[in-house]
Amino acid sequence: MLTYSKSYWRWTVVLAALVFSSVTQAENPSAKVGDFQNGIQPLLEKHCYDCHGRQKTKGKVDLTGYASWSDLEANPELIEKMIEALAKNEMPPEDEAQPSDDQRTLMLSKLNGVFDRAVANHQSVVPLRLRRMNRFEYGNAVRDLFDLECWVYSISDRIIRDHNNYFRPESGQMPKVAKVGNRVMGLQQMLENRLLGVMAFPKDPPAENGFNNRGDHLSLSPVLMQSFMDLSRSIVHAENFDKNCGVWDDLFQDPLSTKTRPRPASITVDKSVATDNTGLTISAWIQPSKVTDHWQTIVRREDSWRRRLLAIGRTGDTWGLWIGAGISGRYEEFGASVDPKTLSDGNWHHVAGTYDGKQITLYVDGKQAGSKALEGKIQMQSTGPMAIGAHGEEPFHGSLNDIRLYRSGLTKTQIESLAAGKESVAEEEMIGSWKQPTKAKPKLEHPAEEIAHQRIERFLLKAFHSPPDEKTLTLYGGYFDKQFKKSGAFTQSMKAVVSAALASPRFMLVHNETDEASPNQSAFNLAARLALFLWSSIPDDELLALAGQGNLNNTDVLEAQVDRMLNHRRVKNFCDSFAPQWLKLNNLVSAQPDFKTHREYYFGGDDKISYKRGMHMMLEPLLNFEAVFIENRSIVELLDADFTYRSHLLAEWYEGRAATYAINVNLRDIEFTRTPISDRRYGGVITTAAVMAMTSGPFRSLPITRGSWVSAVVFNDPPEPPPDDIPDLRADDKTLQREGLTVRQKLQQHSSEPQCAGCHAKIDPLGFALENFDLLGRWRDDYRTGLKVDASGTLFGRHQFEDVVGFKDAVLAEKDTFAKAFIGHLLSYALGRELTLADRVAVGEITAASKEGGYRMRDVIKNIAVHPIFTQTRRP
Amino acid sequence: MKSMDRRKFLLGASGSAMALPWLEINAAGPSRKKLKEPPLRFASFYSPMGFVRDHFFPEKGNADFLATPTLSPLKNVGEKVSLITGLSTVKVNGVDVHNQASSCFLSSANAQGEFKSAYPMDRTLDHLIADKVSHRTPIRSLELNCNSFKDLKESIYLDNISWYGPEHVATTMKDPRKVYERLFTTKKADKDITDLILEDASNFKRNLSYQDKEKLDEYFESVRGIERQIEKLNQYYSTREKADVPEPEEGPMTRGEYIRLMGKLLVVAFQGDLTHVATFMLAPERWGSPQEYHELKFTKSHHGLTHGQDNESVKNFLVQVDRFYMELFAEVLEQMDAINEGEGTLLDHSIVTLGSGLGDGKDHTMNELPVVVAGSANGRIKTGRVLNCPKDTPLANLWLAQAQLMGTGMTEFGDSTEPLSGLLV
Repeated sequence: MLTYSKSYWRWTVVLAALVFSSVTQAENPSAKVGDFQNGIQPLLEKHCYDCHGRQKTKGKVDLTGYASWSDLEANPELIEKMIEALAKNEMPPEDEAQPSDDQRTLMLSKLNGVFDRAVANHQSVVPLRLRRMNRFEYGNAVRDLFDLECWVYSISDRIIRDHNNYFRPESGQMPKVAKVGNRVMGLQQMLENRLLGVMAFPKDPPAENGFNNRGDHLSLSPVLMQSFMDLSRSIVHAENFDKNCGVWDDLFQDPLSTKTRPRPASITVDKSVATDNTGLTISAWIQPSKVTDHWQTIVRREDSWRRRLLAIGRTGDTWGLWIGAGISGRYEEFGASVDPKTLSDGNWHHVAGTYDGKQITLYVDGKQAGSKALEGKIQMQSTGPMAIGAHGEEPFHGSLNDIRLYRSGLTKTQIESLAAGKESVAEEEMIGSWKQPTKAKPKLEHPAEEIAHQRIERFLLKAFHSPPDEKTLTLYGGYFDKQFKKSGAFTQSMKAVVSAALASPRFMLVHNETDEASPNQSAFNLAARLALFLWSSIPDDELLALAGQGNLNNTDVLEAQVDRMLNHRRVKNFCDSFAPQWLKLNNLVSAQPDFKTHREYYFGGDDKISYKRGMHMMLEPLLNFEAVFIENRSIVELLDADFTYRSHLLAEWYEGRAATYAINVNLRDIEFTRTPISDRRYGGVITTAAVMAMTSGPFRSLPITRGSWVSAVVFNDPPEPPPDDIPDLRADDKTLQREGLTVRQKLQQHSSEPQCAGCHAKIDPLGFALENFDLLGRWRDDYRTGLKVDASGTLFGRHQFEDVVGFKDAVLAEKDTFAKAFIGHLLSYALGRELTLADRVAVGEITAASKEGGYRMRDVIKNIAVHPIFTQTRRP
Repeated sequence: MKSMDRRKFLLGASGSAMALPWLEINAAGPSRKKLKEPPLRFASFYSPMGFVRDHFFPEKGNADFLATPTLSPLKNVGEKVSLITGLSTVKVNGVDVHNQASSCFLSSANAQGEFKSAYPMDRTLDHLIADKVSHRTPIRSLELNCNSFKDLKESIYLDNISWYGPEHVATTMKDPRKVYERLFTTKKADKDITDLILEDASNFKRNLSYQDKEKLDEYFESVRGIERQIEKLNQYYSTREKADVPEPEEGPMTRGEYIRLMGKLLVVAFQGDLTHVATFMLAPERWGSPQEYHELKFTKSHHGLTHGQDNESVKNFLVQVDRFYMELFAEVLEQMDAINEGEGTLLDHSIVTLGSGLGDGKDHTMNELPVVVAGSANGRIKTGRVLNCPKDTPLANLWLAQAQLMGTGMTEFGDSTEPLSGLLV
C-alpha cells in the first residue's frame, strides 16, 4: 500500500495474527456482494468478525459495527486497510479459511468503489502550502538566479560529482563511461569550484519514509533565519562572486564605468593545430594584488592526469612560479623560486613556462627563473577549454592579461620577445589565447537610477518567481536610490538590493497555492512548482514568460515545457535529490561491517576513514537510475535491467576477487562502465551491493531490515512501527553455530509469537529472498556455519519463488503494484507533502495513464506534472 | 573545574559594577534587607532510549540513589540532586515510539486528545518559560544538540526536543563554534535590510490564505527575534566584558570532548546571564548508526545496544554508555556548583533536569521514566533524596511545577493533573 497519512487518526498497534475459530464451510461462489447485508456481510461474518470485533479486536479493528455501505463509507481509512489486506492476501491469515478468488475479487472491486465514494464525500485534497526552500533547493536557486559558473556551496546533498560531463539528458543516451566522484564518502569532491566563504545552513532531515522537501518539516527559526541573512550577504560579497556571475552585465555592472569585472575567462583550444604537439608553452601577464602561501591559478585545465597549469604560490619550501603538465604518462609539476615581493609590487609581470621534450623551463619577465631536465613526450592534448584565473579554492588575486598557449616549447629568445611586449611571436605554434576585453566609455541615455530600476524589475521577476507589483518595485527601487545617494557606487548599491531580496520571504518561501490567487498568479505558482519538482530550483525565463502570457496551463504548452525541462541539464538536480532519498542510500554512509572480519570493505588501515567500498557501491544504483531516466526506460527496469554501471573495483567485488587495497586508489574521478548483465541475480537496484550492505549489521545480513527496505522502497508500504517488547533474537554467529540453526530458522521461532506473526508474514519473505547476498552484497550459497541458505518464499500470498531470480520475477509480476508505489513516492516528492487518502485517486489515475507505454520514466513524471493534483486546476 | 568569578563577567571595562539582573550591591547595603531573588535558570537535558533500569534505579525503599552504578557519578553534587521515580507519559498507539519520546518529551500533550501533528506535540516547556523570562537576557533560549552523526538519515522528531509549536522546530545548534559565535559576537544590526524585508513580508502576507499567513508568522518572528537579539547583545556587551572562554577550534574532537565543550558553553551562558533557558540533547533519539565513543574505546549503535540488553555482554557496553553520559552531565552540574553567586551557587539558582522519553530502551515503555532534577530553584526544591511518585504520575506534573517555579504562573501543562507534589521543600 502507499503510505497515506492517517492525518490525526492513527492505526493502533501492529496488525496481529488472527486466529479464526470458525469452521470451514463450503463456499457459495454465487454470493453477490452488491447488497451489503446479503453480499459482503456474510463474508465478513465468516472470515473477519471473530478477530475483529466479536471475540477479539485484533489491531483494534472492529468490523462488527458496520451494517451498511454508508456506515463503511464514513471511514475511508478502514476501507483502505481492508483493500490492502485483501489485495496482498494478508487477510485472512494463511492458516485460516480463505474466501474464493471470485469472492476476493468481488469484495475488492466493491470496496474500491465505496472507497472512491468515501474519499469524494469525506476527504478533500490537501492544498499546497507555503514552505521554505530546503538547503539543496536554495543553493540551486541562487546558482540559477545569477547564472553562476560555480556552485554556491559544496554540500553532500548532491552525492555524485560529474567529471566527464556524462549527464546529457537531451542526448537520450547515457554514455558508456561515467567518470564520477562520491561527495558523501569521499572528501576530495569538496575541491570544487564554489563561492568562497559562503556557509550552507544545516541539511534538512528527511521525513520518515519520505523526502526532505516536506512542507510541514521546513520551518523557520531565528537560528535558521540568521543563516539565511548571513547567506544573503555572503553570497553577493563572496570574493569570487563577481567573476562567476553570469548576469553581471545585466544586473551589477555600473553603466557609468568602463571597468568591467574580471570575467571568468577561458581559452578555447584551436583543434586544427592542437593535435601535433612537440611540447608546451604557457605565457601570461600577471598583476597580483596580493600574494599568499596558497596557490593562485593563472590558467588551468582539469582533465585527469593530462591536466596542465601555470600558477604562483607555495609548495613545500618553494614560493614561486609553477608549471604542470602530463608528460610520458605522469603528471609533472615544477616550480622555480621567485621573490613574492617582486610579483606583488603593483606592476605587470610576464611569466611563462615551457617544455620542449627535454627540459622544463620557467621565466619571469623574460629571464629564466629555473629549469629541470626531463626527457619525455607531452601527452596528447585534450581540447577542453582552459580556465583562467580560478580553480576551486585557488583563485588568482589581481589581474591577468594576454595569456597564450603554444604547442611547442618556445626558445629563450621567443620568451624574451613576449616579455618585451611583442604581439606576433611564433603565431603558427599558438593553439589558443585570451586577452582582457576593452570597452569604450559608455554614454548614458537614462539616469543611473532609471537603469537600476529596470534591472531590479527584471531581477525580482526571477527571484520572486512572479512579477513584482508596484509596491514591491517602489520598495526595492527606493532602497537602491537610498544606497546610491549615500555611496554613489552603483554596483555596491545593487548588491545591497539583491542581498535584501535574497532574505525576502518571496524568495525563500515557495510552493503556495492560495485560494485567493488570481489566475495569473496561479500560472506563476505552477511555473515555480514545476521548477521545484524537476529542477529543485526556480523557474527560468521561458517558464516565466509563458506564465506571464497565461499559456502555461494549456496542456500542449505544459507538456512541451515538461519535455524541455526533462532535457535540460538542470534536471540532474531531480536525479540527485529524488533517487538517493527514494533508495534511502544515506544508510550506506553509516554501514560499518566489522573491521577485523571484513577488512576487504575498507581501503585504508582502519575503519574510521571514509574511503570504503561503499563509496563505489553507492554510485551504482544512482547511475542506474540516471540511465533509466535519460534513456526514458520503464521504471520496471529499476528493478530488473540487463545492464548496470560498475567501476573496476566494484566488478571485482561482485566476482569475489577483491583484494584489500591501499589508500592510493583513484578516489576523485572513478570510471564507471556500462556493463551488460545476463546473470539475472543482478540488474536493478534491489540486489546491488549498496542496498545489501546498508541493510546489514556489522556481522551479518539483516533479513528483516532488508524486508522492511523492500516493503518501504519498492512497495511504498513501510511496516508499522514494531511492537514494544521485541525479544532479543540472539542470532549471533556463535549462538547459531551452537544451535545449528540458520538465521531464518531462528527467526521463525521468534516470528511465531502471536504478536509478531502478522507483520513478519509480510516483511520476512521480502528479506529472506535476498539471503544469498552476504552482509556486503556478495553471493553465497551457504552460511559460514555451512548451512544452506534458504531464499524461498511467497510474495503477497500468490507468487511462489525458490530463489532471488524467482523473487524478482514475482516482483515483476506485481509491476502494477510497484508502479503505483513508485508513483506515490514521486507524487509526494512533487507536491512536497505527505499523501493522504484523498490522493489515492490521483495516484490511481497517474498509474493508469502511465501503463500504456509500459511505465516509461518520463511518461510517469509527465503524467504527474500535468495531472490536476499538481497543476491545481479544478476538475471540470 | 576552576571556579570562575562571576564578578569578572559583570564588571565593565571601567571596572565599575554594572546593572546586575539582581543586585548584589544590596547585600552590602546598610539596610541588610533580604536579598532580591536571584534569576533562576532552567535547563533540560535529554538522553535517548532510557537507561538500563537496574543500574539506574536503586532497589525499592533504598534511599541511597547515589550508590547505583549509573547515578554514582553525581555524588559530588549529590545533595543538590533528586531522583524522581514514577513519572510517565502516555504512549500513542500506532506511532513510532522513539519519535514520540523525543519530540514530545517537553510538551507531554494529552495523548487522548486531538493532535496538531502526528504526535502529541505542542509548544515545549522551555519556550513557555522563555516567553516569561527572556526579557531578562540578551538571548531568548539556547537549543544545544550533541548529535555528531554524519548521516542525516533520521527524522526531525528524533533530533529535537525543543519546539515552538507542532511541526515548528526550534533549530538546534550542533557546532560549538556557532554557539560560541552566538554567545560572544556582537553584530551591527542592519536596520535598513530588516525594515525592508519586514515591509516586503507584510505586503506579501496580504494575499495569503490563513494557513500560509501562519507560516509567514514564522518568518516575522524569526527576523524580529534576530533583531532583538542583536540589539540586546550589543547593549549587554556595552557594559560587560566577554567571558574568558577560548574560541573552540576546528578539528576532530572525541565524543566526550565535544559534549564537554557544549556543556561548558551552556554553563558560561547561564553564568553570564546571556540566557536563562536551555535544552541540551546529549544524543539524538533512536538513530541506528554506530557511534564512536572514543573514551570508552568502542564504536556501537546505542539503539542497537538497548535492544540487546538481555545479553550480558551487550548490557555491559550499554551501562558504560549510560554512565558516560551521566558523567558528562555531572561535570556540568559540578561546574555550575563551583560558581558562586550571591549566597549560593549557580546550581542553587537553577533547575536542571536530565531525563529520557523512554523508560526502557528495550521494552519501549513510557512509564517509570528515568529523571533526575538538580538545583533547588533557590532553596525551593527539596534535594538530595529520592522522590517516589505514585505509579503513572504524569511527567507533565514535574514540568508544571518547574514552570511555576520559573514564574510563568501556569496552572496546567499538557496532561498534567497538578504540580508535582512532594517536589518542593
